[in-house]
Amino acid sequence: MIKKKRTVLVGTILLHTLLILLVYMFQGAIFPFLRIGGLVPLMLPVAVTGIALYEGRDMGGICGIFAGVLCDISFNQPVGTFTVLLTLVGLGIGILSEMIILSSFVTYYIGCAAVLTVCAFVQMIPVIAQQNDIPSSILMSTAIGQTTYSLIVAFPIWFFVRALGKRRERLSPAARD
Amino acid sequence: MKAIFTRRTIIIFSTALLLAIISIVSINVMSSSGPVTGFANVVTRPVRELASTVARAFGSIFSAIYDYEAQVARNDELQRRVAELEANYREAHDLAEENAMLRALHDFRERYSGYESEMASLSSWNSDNWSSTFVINKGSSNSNIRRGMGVATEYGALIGQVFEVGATESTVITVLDTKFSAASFVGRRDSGGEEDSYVTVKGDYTYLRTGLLILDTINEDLIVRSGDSVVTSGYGGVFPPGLTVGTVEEVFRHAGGIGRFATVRPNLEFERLTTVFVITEFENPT
Repeated sequence: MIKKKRTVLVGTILLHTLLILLVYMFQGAIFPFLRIGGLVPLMLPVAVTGIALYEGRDMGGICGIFAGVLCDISFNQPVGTFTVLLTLVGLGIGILSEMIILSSFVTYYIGCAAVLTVCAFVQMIPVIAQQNDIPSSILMSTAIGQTTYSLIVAFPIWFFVRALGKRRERLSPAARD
Repeated sequence: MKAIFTRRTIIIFSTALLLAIISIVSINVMSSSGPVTGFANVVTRPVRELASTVARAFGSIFSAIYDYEAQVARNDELQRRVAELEANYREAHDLAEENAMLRALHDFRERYSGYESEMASLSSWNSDNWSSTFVINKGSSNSNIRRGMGVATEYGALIGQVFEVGATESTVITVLDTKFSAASFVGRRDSGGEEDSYVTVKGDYTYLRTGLLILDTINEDLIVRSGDSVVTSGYGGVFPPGLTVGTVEEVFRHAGGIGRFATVRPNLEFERLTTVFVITEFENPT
């Protein structure tokens, strides 16, 4: 029984690691060459939101750290801001999904929109600190464009996180609680 | 109902916080990105390089399809500009002026030629929409690259500046980034004094997505026109003189009417960069 549980856990961690790496490859290496309107979508925060929603706080938090480190690297910045932010996202969404909200497509999209908005504002801060005469319309258009583009790519990611969530439920129904 | 702050939740969050603190302390104490970022960069490097190779092949197909309408619009724009240029060409005064400008630029480059550089390959571009940076495969352990050095193409077009140096990789900010600025020379000397032609060129977030940078606060006496060339002056000692920054696109007056600025289009295609040259040594004219 314990052996089976361990096998399931190892498999789950491995699959989530693969998913995060795949998403990182797309965000960090593929999409910078496929900019639309000069914008690149944020995919790692979306993946963390989905994983936390379907897997709970533990997996959400661990994936948050991992995705956060990769996110900081893909932005060519030192590990820090997104490592903490995405860990908080993973833990926060995970706690909410365990206690209050349902794991569904609608809650996934609402969660993604909220997280992406927070990410855009966090990214805005150093730019404003560097150059304080930027028109707010320019900042808002980038934030809205980035969030919208990211929400479009959130759709295919949902299939993956939902499939992983279903797999976990099938193999060990009580694991999340 | 489960407790919000369980032991595991606190451990996970503390781990993230610890990683961030190590990173912040490293930046401030060692002036480098630190062991956490360095380790993560080394581990993910093969993945990034593999993905970049795939992305380049994929990107060229995508851009051919995606750029079709843009190419048609660009073609119309080019035809309009050709007509404008033909009209200008007939004017003898402008021709003479243009000649003088080109001669000045040529003299400028001849006077300050010669610098040492280190070749590096581009590993990956940043994927956020708030800055313009990329990573090269040379760092402090495998080259003489140091923070602040200029980065250019083989044709002498300025790409940017080394912003952070890791052990085996370095981060470069491009000329479009808000952290970038360089002392430059506009290739026109109508106002007489050569000193009047020196300006500061810098990245501006307003124009980041359109791929432009700006000539900041142009002297009222200086005549700057669309099509003027902008090259580095070498003053300040950061960049060698004579590197091409770009071409003036449009001149604007600041809001409130005080002072002017101009947009500059860099003379290079960032998407096609694969190899860059980091300028490690050069003769300073000052």
